[in-house]
Amino acid sequence: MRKKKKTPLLAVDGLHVSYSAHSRRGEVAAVRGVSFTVDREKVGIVGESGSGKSSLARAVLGLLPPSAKVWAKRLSFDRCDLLRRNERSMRTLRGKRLGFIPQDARIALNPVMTVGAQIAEACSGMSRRAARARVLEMLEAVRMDDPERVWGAYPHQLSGGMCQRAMIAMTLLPGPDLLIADEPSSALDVHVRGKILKLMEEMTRERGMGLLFISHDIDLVGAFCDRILVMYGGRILESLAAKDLAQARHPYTRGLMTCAPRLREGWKGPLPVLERDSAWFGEGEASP
Amino acid sequence: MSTKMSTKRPLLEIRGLDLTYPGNGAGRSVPHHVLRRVSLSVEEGDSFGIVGESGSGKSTLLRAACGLARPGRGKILLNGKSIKSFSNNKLSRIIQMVFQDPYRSLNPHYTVDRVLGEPLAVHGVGKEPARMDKALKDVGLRPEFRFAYPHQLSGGQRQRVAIARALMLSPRLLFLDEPTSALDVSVQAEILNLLARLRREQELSYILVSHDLAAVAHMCDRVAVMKQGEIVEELTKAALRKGRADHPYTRELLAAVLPATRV
Repeated sequence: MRKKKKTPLLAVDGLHVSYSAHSRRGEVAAVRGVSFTVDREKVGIVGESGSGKSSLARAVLGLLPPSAKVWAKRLSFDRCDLLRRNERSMRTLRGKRLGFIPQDARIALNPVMTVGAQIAEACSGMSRRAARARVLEMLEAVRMDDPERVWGAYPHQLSGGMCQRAMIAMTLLPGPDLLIADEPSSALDVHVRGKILKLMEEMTRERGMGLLFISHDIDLVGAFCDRILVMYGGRILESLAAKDLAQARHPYTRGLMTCAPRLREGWKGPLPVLERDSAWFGEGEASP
Repeated sequence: MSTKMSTKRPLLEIRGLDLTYPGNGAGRSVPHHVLRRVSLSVEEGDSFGIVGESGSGKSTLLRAACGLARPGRGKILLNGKSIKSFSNNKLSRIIQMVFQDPYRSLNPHYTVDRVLGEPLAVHGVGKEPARMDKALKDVGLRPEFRFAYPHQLSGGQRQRVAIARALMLSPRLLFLDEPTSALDVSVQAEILNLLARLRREQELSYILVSHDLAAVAHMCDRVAVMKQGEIVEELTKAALRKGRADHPYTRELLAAVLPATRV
């Protein structure tokens, strides 16, 4: 919609990430030539553990450890080249304009700070009182039953789902342009999950936020996102509109959909098991 | 089915179980009711499911039923006898548990051999190589895995080891506490198939705790729905599949699942 739709919010072209392993085999390629764009929409990345989803997210955010090698033809966020940015200038983007919800909020939160004080760090330039009001408002938006208690609590005093919601509140508070969410809902109960997804949905629709939603749950991504990228072995095997998920062509995508138990028309015998084809792994592009 | 049921006696029977944790520092100064008047019965060969959100008391119920948590009131009967009359060793030959996170439930310093050998050593049972190989084979692992460490295994392989460990003493009843929620769906399918096969082959009974209604509907004949420490409803598999629930909370859970399972 914005600026004649010329540059997408996030453009990734030919991204590679590899880690140097300390053991014999030299390098492990986690992401092998991935290209996609994210605009003011909800894009879901689906894949199993080890498919490179999280490495991809961390490469975009510049959060990979120094041992990781990242290269790409293009990696840009709102026309700034992320590959050329140094750590200091990445910091000005992260948090404010580039939001990130990590997978395990319990680990991500600071254990020696109260949750309220941590979230208030996102309210730069506000008075203490205004920051507190804003944080409580945000905690309410993520459906915390008792925001006042959460404000004063330390992470270990909250359940996993509550930590997750606190993390989501912290990330959404500054109103990022692009939100990267790595399995944001896996620790949440179904009905809380629905409300959190609705909140993210509203933020994409009303504020024109872009969302990159990483999950292993293909049904959830199919129901929630606009577009789906299916990853396997560090590559995108299939890219399709969420509404076309039922017509997915790739056997891996189809396999992911059929091997989950269904509530309504369940399988009588054993569940179908995914048979992997070594051809899916593909050649991968050579490193430069 | 009802005639078949009546001839069986309950393997595990829980009557009016209450459990309260005293107030702690977590912003909770009042005692916390974890279980309220919980009753259920599991017959020999049953597969019983418990669903509910986090904090509803599912795991505590399992822990109480195998003597790991002390209930305040109520009775837990195993083969008609109070669980208090069983020694720990006796109890662990009847009930075993498989935990949620295979990354945390196996000791990282132990090889698979030692993980599987520990229950045998505690019970003074011989650890013959043939026995270990059979235990691995039963859960679909090759004998080479016997001397592997957990970090050398995938999540699915680790959960297979955890299941093999639980079966080492040939128990009658397995408590499965979210056994697949840390795993990928494709691996979940393999583990659920494995559990279904083992139940058939070794004539086991299961109590499966999960927040995934579809997985419970696939594995269990009867399902209890828990909310805030109480069993609000018990359903048959058929009723769950058809979405025929009486309690508003169960309906809410069903409504939250159904839109996503449209494929």
